[in-house]
Amino acid sequence: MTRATTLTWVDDLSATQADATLTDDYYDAVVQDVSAIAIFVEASLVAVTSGTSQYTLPSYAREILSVFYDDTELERTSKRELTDYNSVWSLESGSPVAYGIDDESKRTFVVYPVPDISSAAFAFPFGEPFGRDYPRYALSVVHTDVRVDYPKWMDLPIAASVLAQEFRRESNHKDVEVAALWKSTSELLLGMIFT
Amino acid sequence: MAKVAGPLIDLVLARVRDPQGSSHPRSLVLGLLSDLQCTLNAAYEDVMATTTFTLTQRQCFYQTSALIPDAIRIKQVKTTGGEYLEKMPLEEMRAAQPQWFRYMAAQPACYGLYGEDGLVVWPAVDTSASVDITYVKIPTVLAVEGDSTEIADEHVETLLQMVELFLLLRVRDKESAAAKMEEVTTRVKAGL
Repeated sequence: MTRATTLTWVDDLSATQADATLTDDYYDAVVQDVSAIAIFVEASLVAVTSGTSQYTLPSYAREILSVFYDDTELERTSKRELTDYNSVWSLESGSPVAYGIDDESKRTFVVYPVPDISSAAFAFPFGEPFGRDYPRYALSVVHTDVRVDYPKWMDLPIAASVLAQEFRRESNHKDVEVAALWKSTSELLLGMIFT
Repeated sequence: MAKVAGPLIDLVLARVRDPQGSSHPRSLVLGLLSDLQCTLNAAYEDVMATTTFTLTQRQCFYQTSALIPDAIRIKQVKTTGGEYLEKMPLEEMRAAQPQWFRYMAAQPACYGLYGEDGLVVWPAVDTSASVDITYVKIPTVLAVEGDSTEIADEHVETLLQMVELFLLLRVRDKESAAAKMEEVTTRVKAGL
């Protein structure tokens, strides 16, 4: 049920030929791809500052699924659409009704119009940030997560995908046919699970 | 009827022509049986469990992996009174009520899913309430050869063939692995 278990499988199934440092990197790349499947989904609160349109996703977030401002779900749009709709959109203020991905590499998104009220303090006396303690005028972002450890049922599909990369790279054990078969195995398992 | 792991290991090792387990240690085969059983259960949904879960007041979104660590995915939600909640696409909740994320009622009426892990029990309740959640479960680890499989018997053959495929790839027997891949794919497409 962990990265360590998966990498142990990679070592065993490569008959200890896999390079531990490289497979570590391959693991990271594979889970980045896999995280788009929405295996892990989380809601995060983002504090709103009056007059600020741009906000940053938590470091572990990958894909935004929904954004809510206070109690209202925002429409997804893009900066281009916003500009087409209103060239001075960034000067409009009020309660946000839409959001757009600002810069994926910087993990930021923008909301429109620019909020004119800062969110209430993030104080959670009941320990229920999305329940009784839900702060007024905050943003809630539902997003997929990238994690270090994936659930046990993903160990072998991920291991097979890592092995495909390991046998494809230049090395004394490079074998493109075996790489292709590992890739097909991973795809078969993922296809079985997610269709 | 559940199958005991030890005889399954014998069978797989005989099929890959390593009955003594000299190339493939029995512990490795046991581990593959165990982990592939988990993976196959995510696909076949044979092993299920039910748990009672107390809803948080005024909250409709829950992260399944945090609430039920052995859950693969949610299959059914019902009130403790026995009323099944309808599974509803999130778009319909949005259409029904623009402020759906904070909308409240005395009892939930339906549930929805964000991917594999995000559970929405909607509307949120404004008093304390519980629901019974039926979910696809991670099967118990096959720790020793005396442990038994939990997936349906009709899927055990696919499990065995999948283990064979992994072992053939492990020793880079490409021809046999390619043939096995075809065989397994055909079985899977046939729903076996």
